Amino acid sequence: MDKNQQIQHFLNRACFGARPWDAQRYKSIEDCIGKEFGKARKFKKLTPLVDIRSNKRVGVLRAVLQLLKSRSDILELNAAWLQRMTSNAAPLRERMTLFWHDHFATASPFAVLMQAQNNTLRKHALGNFRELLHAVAKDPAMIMYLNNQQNTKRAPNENFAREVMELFTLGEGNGYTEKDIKEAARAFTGWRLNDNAFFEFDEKKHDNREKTIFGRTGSFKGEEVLDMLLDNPQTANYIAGKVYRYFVNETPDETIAKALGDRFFASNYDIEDLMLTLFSSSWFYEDNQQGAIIKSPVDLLVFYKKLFNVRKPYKELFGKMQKVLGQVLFRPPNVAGWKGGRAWIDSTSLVLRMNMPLMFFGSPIDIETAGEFDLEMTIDKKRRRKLESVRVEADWKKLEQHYKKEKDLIPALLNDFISCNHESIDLDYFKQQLSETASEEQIKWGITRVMSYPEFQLK
Amino acid sequence: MERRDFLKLSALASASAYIPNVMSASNPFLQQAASAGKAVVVIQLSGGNDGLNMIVPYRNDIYYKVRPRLAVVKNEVIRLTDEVGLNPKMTQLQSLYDRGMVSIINGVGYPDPNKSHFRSMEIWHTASDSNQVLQTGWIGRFLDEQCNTCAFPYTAIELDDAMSMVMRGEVKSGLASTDPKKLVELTKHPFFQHIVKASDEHHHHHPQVEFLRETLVQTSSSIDYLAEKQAKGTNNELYDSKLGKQLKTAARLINGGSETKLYYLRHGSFDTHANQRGGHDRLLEQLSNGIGTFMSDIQKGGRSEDVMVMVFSEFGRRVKQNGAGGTDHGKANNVLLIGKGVKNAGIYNKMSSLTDLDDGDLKYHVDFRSVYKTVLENWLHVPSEGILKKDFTDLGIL
Repeated sequence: MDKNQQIQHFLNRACFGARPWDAQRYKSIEDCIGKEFGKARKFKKLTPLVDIRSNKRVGVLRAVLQLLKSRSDILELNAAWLQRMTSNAAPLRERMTLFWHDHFATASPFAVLMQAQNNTLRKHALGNFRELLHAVAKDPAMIMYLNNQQNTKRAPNENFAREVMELFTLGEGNGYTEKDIKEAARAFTGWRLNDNAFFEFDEKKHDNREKTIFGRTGSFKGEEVLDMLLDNPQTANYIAGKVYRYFVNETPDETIAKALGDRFFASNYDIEDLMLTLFSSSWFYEDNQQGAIIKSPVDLLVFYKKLFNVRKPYKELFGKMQKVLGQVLFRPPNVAGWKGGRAWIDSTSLVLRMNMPLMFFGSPIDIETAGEFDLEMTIDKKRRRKLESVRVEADWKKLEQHYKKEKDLIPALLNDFISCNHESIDLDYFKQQLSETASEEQIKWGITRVMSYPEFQLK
Repeated sequence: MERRDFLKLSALASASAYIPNVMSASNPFLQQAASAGKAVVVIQLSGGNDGLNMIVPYRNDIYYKVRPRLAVVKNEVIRLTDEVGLNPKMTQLQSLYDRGMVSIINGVGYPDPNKSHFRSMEIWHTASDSNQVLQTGWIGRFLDEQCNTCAFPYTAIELDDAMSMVMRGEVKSGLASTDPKKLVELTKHPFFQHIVKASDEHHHHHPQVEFLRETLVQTSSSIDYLAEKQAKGTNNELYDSKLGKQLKTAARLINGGSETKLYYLRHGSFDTHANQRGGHDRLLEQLSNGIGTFMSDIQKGGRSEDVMVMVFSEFGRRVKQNGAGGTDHGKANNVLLIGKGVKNAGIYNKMSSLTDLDDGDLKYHVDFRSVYKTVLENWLHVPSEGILKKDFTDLGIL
């Protein structure tokens, strides 16, 4: 890869994509990495919703009201996060927040709880995984989602204990038994929410008798179980392997993942160090990494919004697009998160992906409001579904200016928008198509076409 | 390239925009489709259907005692047996029942039930145990397992814009479309067609490029196939409701001779926590009318021997009504199998007891995966163990 390709590659993987003019803003890849990590050190909460969990007791009525409001709130939160991802302030931190949202996949009927969890993930996104795990384990949305609210001395619920091992730390089948899960569940008894929906430890519901977990016996508390999991290097290896598949290549590389895992463990779970190591390694910039990952729906939406400088939120439209493409923020399919990789692609989503650039031509798009983006399960019989015509305001000026001076448009477009090599693209046909277009329209149509190639779906 | 060619995007972005069908209805009896084989139409009642107000235990005093505001009045119930009746709005289902085409399976569920919509629906979609997380659905795994015969995504189609987890396998998945003849418009532009053609003619070194382009070729031919069958098939009956429109599309595809094995439809929401009666009755009426019309359509198309309809919901509701004239999330529930192929039609098993309860909810007696197994093995004639990951009991009704 040359300098520009390296920068593009890094921005594609770490910062929701590179616009045609982004790469040239940096002197070198080192300069780019340094600046982006520098920006990512700033932490700014995302708070489109008012968190009502203040002093007053929540109570049943308030909870129900909150629940009803959550339907529009979750859409608000979704749009706000998508907007934040497009911002140039700290895209790397948002990208990492999304990674952790996928890893600690949670959904909640209460939008404010998802907002709170999202800020917890954001706060620790490039911090320390040890602190992150402890914080998420006590996160109210997580407590509810994995039924720890129902986990009591009298009736233990194993859900959290199972998933924390299977999905959050060791990985499925890696060094734990059914007995370990059962015993660990007892250590998490009494972890619940108080009336204001904040975490509390209820001593009376906690089982303080002896447990035997991973061969050790003691009257362990939940925190100690989390520490046992973190003391096992397998946790570092599991996270590093996942980071590799998510940021480098969908095909795992055991040797590299192991080296990353060892370093992650040795650093006592320093996430920033892990990511900096990854993005500074020569193997990250080898040619075979180009186009090795299929863009996620959120990758695509954020990139389009950035590219066309779409300012308005278009909440319903972008929510609907997430649904049809298979990735709705704050609504992962289950606790295992999005399957990702080739699972992003099915017949319908591929056709839609290839037609997506056309959304930005200013033509009206009919979408159904109410009930569609919403949870399918909620009562919607009273709310009429209605069709709304949306016209996305896209800004083509900057793109037109950028390419106006370009003598050879097609190679420039391919370099800017296609990250794998171009040998699969029929250049003659592309040229012929473009030559049949009026000259003042060529840039627009060229961009639209280049993004309609299947290769554009790769990063 | 014409700008108007691109404006079809709304075909996908809109779920309910419905173009009146302009295809001429030719003689339905000319539609030959015998070679298309068996098919299953799955109707998912989203939100937790109140089975006790659909299949009513009208002789049971407890039912009337715990549901003073909600119970279906005894003399309005459509009586099926001395014990069991149907919701009065389900007259079309009654007529199918009377013709020996309905099997009612009571007390369907799974061990250690989960009362969250999402989790329970996910369990039904992935056919997992209650404490197991799977990322593929049973229909997706059916496609994976049947690789030799299921070369194309049209083998399983969800009649919706967005594809549910149930349709996703490890390497294969079905196709999602509210209306294939609108989806096909998105693939007809010359530029799109050129990419499809080029993809079919060349192989590519880059594994991801090869994957995408191969998927594209299969997708394009599947959509063409479905649109052609949809145009060829006919409907004579009128359908109302959103479910009705999905059933209409399914009937056209079936009558057009599509070799699709599984159709997936969703109806609801059935999450009736408050003021249940009117809304719930209406949903059941739409269900009954939709199925009745559909059955009559495929009968005219000569396909009624080939099609089995399965109706399920992620859970039932509590036996007692709540304080708001509704019902809260429950556990075991009924599953309906409807079609000419049903053996020993009628009430398959006793209704769950209204006194021997699991914390106020009906207990399960039949694992839902037994229903899947029965449908897979005795209707679609495929081995089920690889798909369901375990062996379950065959219900012996297909």
